Amino acid sequence: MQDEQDFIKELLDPKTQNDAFGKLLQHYQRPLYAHIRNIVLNHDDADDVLQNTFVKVFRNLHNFKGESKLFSWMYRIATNEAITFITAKAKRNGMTSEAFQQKQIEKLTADSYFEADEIQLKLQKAVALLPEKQQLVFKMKYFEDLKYEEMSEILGTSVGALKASYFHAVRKIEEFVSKN
Amino acid sequence: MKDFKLDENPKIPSGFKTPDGYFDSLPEKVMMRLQEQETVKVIPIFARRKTWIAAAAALLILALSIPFLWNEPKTTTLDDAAIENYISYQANISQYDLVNLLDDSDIDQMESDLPIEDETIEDILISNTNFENYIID
Repeated sequence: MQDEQDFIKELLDPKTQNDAFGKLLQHYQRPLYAHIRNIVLNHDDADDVLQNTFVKVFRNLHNFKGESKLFSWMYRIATNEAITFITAKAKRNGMTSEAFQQKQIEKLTADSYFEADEIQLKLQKAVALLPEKQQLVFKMKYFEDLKYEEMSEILGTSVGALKASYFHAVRKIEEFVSKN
Repeated sequence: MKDFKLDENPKIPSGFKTPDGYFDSLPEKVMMRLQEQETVKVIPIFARRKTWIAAAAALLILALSIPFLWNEPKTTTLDDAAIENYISYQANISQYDLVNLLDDSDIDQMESDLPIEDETIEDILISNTNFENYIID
């Protein structure tokens, strides 16, 4: 992407805003989709949340102070939107987020937009059993290949804490997959 | 059972797939949603403003008309005594003019309303030195 400061100027200028936002959409739609889908699991939900995220990004461009990278800011919005979505959906179904997530995992095999072998399914089941923060860290590191420094900016957690979180997540996953 | 080690295995994909052409159509879907929200946003603002202005105008008219509504015109009927008093004390009209304004029916009415005894008439005539004028007229 072009120099971030110049790009942010284009995003904020009404004359160039639409074109610049179009570029933003093209560049970030896939990684943001993957990030959101890893959290919400279902394609239709991910589609909803992704659109909400981009709308929120657009509406709040004037609030973006440039204190963090554009990428981190957008990922933060996406993460919050996804978690809020899951929490709200769980509540509507009269369940805790954890219980709701377990139910979503059980539905995965019937999901036409989930193609996985045995090990892939086991991995998803194992990850779903982790505490929320550890799940996020694991997914972002393992599935999305984000660097610890990038994750630290997005989640507001220190690199050290993130590394520890990832370490514990891996151990629990390995234990689950070994036993199942 | 062999312990499973994540690092010792090739990267395991998440297994999540998207419908064909999903990312081709997404940017347009987002832009359309933004445009729809813009249109919806504009109209309520104007409607609210118009309503506010209309309400303010209506309130102003009401406020201004309150004094007029409360001050009901007092349609007092003037009674005869009030009229008589006015004519006697306020109006610039002499007794001579008043008498000239009376026609025969008025005089007849007065004769029946105000019974004056003959003695009273004689007393008035005696006290009035110009009684010949009355006899002649």
